[in-house]
Amino acid sequence: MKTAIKSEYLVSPFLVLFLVHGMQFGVGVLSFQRDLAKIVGQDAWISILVTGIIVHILIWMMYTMLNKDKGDLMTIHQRTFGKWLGNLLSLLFIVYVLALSITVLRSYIEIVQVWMFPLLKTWPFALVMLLSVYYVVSSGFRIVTGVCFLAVVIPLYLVLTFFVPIEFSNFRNLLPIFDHSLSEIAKSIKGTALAFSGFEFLLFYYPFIKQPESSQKWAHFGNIGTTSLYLLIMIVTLGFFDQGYLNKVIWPTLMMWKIIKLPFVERFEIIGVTSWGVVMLPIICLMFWSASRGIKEIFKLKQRSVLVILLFICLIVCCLLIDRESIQQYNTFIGTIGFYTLFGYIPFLFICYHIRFIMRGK
Amino acid sequence: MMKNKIKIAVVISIIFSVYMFGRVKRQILDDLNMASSVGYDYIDKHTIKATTARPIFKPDKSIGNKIFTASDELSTQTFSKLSLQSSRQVVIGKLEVALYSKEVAKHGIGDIVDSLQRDPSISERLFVAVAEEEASEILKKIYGDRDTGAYLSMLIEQNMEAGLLPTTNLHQFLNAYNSDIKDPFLPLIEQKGEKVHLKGIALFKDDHYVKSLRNDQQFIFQALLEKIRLGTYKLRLKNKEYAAIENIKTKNSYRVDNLKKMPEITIQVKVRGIIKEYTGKKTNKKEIDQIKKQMENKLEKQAAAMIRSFQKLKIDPLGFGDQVRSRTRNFRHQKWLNQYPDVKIRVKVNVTILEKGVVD
Amino acid sequence: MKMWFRKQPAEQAQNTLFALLNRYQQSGDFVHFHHPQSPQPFWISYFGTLIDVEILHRDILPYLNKTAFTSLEGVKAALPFEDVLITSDLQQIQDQLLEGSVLIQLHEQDSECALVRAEMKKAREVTIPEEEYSVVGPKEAFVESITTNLNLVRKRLPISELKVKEFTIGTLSKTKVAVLYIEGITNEDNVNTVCQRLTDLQFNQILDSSIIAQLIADNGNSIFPQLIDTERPDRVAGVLAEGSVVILADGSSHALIGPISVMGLFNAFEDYYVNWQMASAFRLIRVFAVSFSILVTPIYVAVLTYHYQLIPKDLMVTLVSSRRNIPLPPILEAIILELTIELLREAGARLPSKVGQTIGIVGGIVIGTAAVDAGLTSNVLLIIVALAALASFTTPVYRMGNTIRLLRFPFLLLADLWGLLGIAVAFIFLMIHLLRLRSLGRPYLEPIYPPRLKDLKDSFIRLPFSLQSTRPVFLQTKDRERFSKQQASEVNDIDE
Repeated sequence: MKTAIKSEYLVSPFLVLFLVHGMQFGVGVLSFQRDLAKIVGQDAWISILVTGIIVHILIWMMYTMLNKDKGDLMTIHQRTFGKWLGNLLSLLFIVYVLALSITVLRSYIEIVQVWMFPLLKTWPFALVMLLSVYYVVSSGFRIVTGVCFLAVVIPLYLVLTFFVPIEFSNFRNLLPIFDHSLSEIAKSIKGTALAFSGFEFLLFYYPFIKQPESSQKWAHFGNIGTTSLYLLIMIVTLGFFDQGYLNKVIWPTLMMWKIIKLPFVERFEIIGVTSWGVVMLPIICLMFWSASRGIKEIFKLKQRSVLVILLFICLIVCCLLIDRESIQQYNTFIGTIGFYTLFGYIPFLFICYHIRFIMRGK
Repeated sequence: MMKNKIKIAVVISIIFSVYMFGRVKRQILDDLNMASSVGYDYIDKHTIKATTARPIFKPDKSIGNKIFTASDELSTQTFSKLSLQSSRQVVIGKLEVALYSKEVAKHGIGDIVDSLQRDPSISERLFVAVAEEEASEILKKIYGDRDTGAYLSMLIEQNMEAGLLPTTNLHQFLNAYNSDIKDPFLPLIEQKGEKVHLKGIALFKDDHYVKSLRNDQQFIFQALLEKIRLGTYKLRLKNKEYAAIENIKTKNSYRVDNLKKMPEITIQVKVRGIIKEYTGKKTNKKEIDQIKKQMENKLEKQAAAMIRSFQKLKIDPLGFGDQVRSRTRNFRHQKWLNQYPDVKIRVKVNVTILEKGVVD
Repeated sequence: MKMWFRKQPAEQAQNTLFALLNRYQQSGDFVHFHHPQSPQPFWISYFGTLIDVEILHRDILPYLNKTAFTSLEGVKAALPFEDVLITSDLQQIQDQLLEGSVLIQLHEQDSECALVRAEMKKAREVTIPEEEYSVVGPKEAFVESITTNLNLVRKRLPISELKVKEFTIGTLSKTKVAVLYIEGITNEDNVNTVCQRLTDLQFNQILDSSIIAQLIADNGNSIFPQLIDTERPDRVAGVLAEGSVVILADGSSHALIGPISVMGLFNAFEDYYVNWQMASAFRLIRVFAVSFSILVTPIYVAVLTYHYQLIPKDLMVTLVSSRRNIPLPPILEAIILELTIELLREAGARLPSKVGQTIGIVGGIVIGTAAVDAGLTSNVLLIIVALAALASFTTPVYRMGNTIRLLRFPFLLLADLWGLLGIAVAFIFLMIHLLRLRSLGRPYLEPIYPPRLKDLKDSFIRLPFSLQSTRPVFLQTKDRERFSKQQASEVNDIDE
């Protein structure tokens, strides 16, 4: 149905680890603790564990579909629902991806505006970031993966910084365990969906992996890495902040960085925010790559031109979200859509695909 | 070729527009008035007087002190008013100490602290303290060879490391302040003549100052709160001798019983120290036993008195409520707050004298 | 009017050798004379400036005078040369004459002639390498003659698999370019890429191998070198054994090595001559020095302009008092100092060596101290800029030093714009650029991305030779092993 991708554009399966982990570990890390703790308090870490396990199941579902189909999301849609409906669904998915990229970029710029430069206008910075995104995506998928890889490896030193707040922490805050009902935990998973999202892009870049079946274990490892990191951060946060305080703090991770004091540098959160730009770049790049590639496949347009148009749309919407309230609203809205997409639509697609598969087999 | 030209043109126009419109405010180091300490005094119900001290860096590397004062209703407004007096922009990013006078503290410092919370450039390691008299008086003088802010912060920090003061900074304060069941406490600073010294600990109820801890209760307060690594304790023995125990390490363990109805808390404190000074004749086993027993008694009595006063005033700086909360399912704040004055809290102290120095 | 525009009757087919020689005689250094005596008269022509007169006097004329010959074959037999060429191909005659051959005709109108190679080989002697000087290890360096260079390489790799492919490039300079590789080790794709690019090259003059490097580079707009040039034959031999391709050009004392990865820019060949621990430490120092050199001045500018909160209060005293009375914002201070150092460097490079050294020292010390005293710059920044300049020269590849000098400026400008965030943005762009860069088609950032753990053993650190039994993966060599791993000897117990 499609021409196979030339082998020189393919990527080794080991790198799927970084693709999955790099996409999941994003802007959500800086603020995810508060929404969770509002619902489940000191059991928030349980929600994270549960969500991590669910994501493993979702990844398995995606791989079963993709291994049979040997294509990507667009072909799965077309095979399952027929050409028109399938393309429509793919298009909706792509719109969701685009909206997600706006979330990521705008949240990051907001953090910069609040924590570092209150007078920074949104559009110049967004323009520069989007320029670098164009630079990356127009060089092909290998470079996008490279950026993912480097952006996971280089900021690894930040993991060490999460051990410093332990000095001021009180781990009695974590007790009593399991003080909340299962329904509350289930409700909180809705909030964590956005923090764990990022693995669904596998549906777009599956054809670009060498020996794709063998990459499944790396994807799972990536998710394990993300889950463990989130767990670590959550536990330290819960120990560091009492519940009352945690409910007030918008960006708990950044507040934790404030307490770090090194001999030659004092206010570590500035370095943290700056490094986060590097962490966040590959996420936006892969999102734009996926979106532009999706549209290219559906409408047979040139990927480069599509890319420019998408970047433009992103820029304009970013500048329209001006204050904290509207950003918050937008993020929550996208978060809810994301939750239903990931945790609802993917299993649905899985079932439909297999029904079709069985029907075709007959 | 055309494509290349378009690309170059786009890039150049992006660079140009970013440089023109993407600038941010410069805060060049030597053009700033970096307040290192701020003090708040009470004027009347609606006005606060703020005083900041900032270091002056002289060419010969010594440091001087410069004071600015302004009053307003909101504490952040005072900063802009302070700017009106200063030739350089006033910034509070390097703030090290925030002092509140007792008057201000009695009327509640919640709102002022809130402004400190919201500002992202304030460090969580900021030291907050209560001044016995007027904060501006303390800040006006110069102590030692540093500016006031640095001096005060070093004073507090050094004492924390020496084990004479429990760990306290803005973060601990905010944790306790924002919590329903815990109450904050702050160090108390007093000015005596040309010097300042740490007088004790100021206890708060929510955000009002209620009383300051008695000096002799400070040790047991700290022992119940956290693990002491380097404490000192002076003991007056029944036979009118004095003993000084140092290098004290303490550990505490809490036990809570009868959670359903009325919780009972028992705290076991283990104290280990070295005798550094003893005015008596010699220190043989009998003497040491005496010292040990009397110390235990004394500490238990002090603890009991202290806890009683806490319960009477309905404050909980030591976090008893948190201990109960962490062991209860479906903890109800209100229920605990109602129960608190009647809860039985017992302290048992176990002292071990490790060494007695190099002579007998 | 037509007089001025009269076309030369040139380019008309030089159908005769006689016409060709007449044309050449218009140059003053062309010698064309007739040897009328016995036993057989002949005509000799050559470019006097190209031949070695000794050879003419010693090896050609006496034999021609003594022996009797009747044809060019006789000439060939008479002369003690192994490669006398008898031809009437005008193109070949032209080429040979211009390379320094002596042309022998029996009669002036003959179109057939004998060509004897008698070129003057004047080149530098093999001396100590200037740029890649190493304290330990051999001290031979390439010279400008390609034959000598090939000799230096071949004697280090006396195997039959070492292949040399020759090209002539450059319409005006007709430079001989040689491509070396070891058959059976080097991946043929690399060799083919190089040969392809060389044959596709359209250029008029190749004066040095670095021009070839720029012309066949994958991305000519990048400031990062995509082929390393070296003047050490031992390095060339080493990389050939690893599986790289080497390009030598006549007239150039540098050889080009490709494909390379970014780690090759930090490797000095001397690392292989010292212990692996020292080599690893020095490499790490170099990596640190390069990042320090690029980043430290921008960080200074960024922190002082935007991020006063980052400075610990003890350091604050030093910095504020050093910036006392300085009228300029930190960015201008930094740019002025950087430009001053660049000025010193350029000036020192142009002046003859004796004067140049003095200017360097005087300029540096005097200008520096005076600037601080006059209050134009702060002494902290002066130290920083000087150290950064020094650190930029720790790279063994000279080109990389230039790269680092240049790289600092965008970082500086972005640091002035957005502080630490600007440095992060600059770093992002640098990272993307390096990711995209290719060297002879291979990714530039090889052991880092795509991650090849096996190659890391010779990148940031150098592991001992016993652990380096496989060739670098990124060269995709055909033969993976350097030497067979010995079976580890059994570990004996104490006193056993």
